[in-house]
Amino acid sequence: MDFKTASQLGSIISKDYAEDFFKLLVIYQDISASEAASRLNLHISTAQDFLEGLNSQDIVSKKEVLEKKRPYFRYSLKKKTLTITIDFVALYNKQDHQDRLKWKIREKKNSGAIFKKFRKSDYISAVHFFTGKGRTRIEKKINLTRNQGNFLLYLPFPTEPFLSVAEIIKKAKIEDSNIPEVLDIIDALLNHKIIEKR
Amino acid sequence: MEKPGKLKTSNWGIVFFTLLIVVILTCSAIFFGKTVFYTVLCFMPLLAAITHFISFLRTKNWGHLILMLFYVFIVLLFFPTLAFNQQTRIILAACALILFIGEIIVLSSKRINWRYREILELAAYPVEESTDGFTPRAFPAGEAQYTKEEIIGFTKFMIKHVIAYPFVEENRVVLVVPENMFVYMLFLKHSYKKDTYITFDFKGNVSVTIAKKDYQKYKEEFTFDQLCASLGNLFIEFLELYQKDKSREIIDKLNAI
Repeated sequence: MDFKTASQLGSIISKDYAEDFFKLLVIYQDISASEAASRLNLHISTAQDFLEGLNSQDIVSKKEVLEKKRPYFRYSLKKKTLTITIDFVALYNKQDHQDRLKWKIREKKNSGAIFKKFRKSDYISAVHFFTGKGRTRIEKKINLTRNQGNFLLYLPFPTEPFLSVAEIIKKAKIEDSNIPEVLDIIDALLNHKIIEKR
Repeated sequence: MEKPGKLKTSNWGIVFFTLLIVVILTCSAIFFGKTVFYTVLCFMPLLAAITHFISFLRTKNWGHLILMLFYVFIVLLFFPTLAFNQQTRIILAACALILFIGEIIVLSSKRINWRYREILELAAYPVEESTDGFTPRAFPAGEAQYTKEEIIGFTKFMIKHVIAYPFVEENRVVLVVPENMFVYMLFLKHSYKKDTYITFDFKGNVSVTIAKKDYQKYKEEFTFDQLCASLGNLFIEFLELYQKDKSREIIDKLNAI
């Protein structure tokens, strides 16, 4: 299940009335939005939206019926259980990871960033920078992990030639399992124009 | 090694300090009379004597001892409430004169000279390119071969010859190159983060941090990574000379600037 679908499902079942709604769907063979709304003391549009949400996630099926030539929908439960499974590891794109290791980067000249060092060590503990101009100027701070701070220690200076991310990681002696967090900080610093990429 | 200096020459701090002393002495003479003038006149060498005594304790450099004794004799000679007889005053004056000659020898031999400018000059010598790109980050200047005992011995050598002020930390030593060494010697400053410093960790890694205020002392905006690398190499070279018992060459190199 992709994360977006899981979050939509989560949003639906987190409604205050969701449990009572599902009870109704179990009890009734099929039910209309107006019947559910009157039973649960909800506005008809709220019940309609909830049922449409369930239908879009294929939890209920809907059937059009006519009453005195006026069409409306009746909903019936399709699934007896609901399982939300999210593969968190899959959220990280490993192909993208390999591509980013080839990026050539260095610190951007006059980026205005302030690199705070960890006490009695050279590795960087936080990066301070400013966003906005004039009255909207705000100072922001990114706290770094030990590996991220160590990576930034070996990041080429603005006057040095560009180095690939993989080479910097090798210099900083960062283990493979910690590479994703390093790539994450590279993204953040690129976004804030503190480092530059060739 | 006569090359044109790469540092700016202005040293307004000393000019202002000297002017301030002259103003204080003049005002004390004009507004408070002779006795106050001599008291103020003696108060300054007293402070200098205390400073050099603490510096002697910190560095074990006997040059500071000579200067301290000279200032002590000046105080004894001129302090108004110490009315020694003529014979004693002549002996004190003779001692002060001998110590004054000693002071000239000490100062001319650069035995207690802070080496801030020399180090910055030496670091800039090999750097020809000028592309501004200052960053406050530390520059990994490579690795060197040394034991913990050797590097601690090296730091003692550096403070004895007032080349750099050392901090021995849990896993490294830090050699600070301050413009004013007294602020560290007299415990007026405890953090070196805003000064230029070189670190040697106990695994052999060397790193360099050049302070912005020191970088701005150069006439040109030297390519920053090259400047940091050069400063790192300079200290690695000093360490190697120390390891080979050629410490004299370090002093000669600094004196040649």
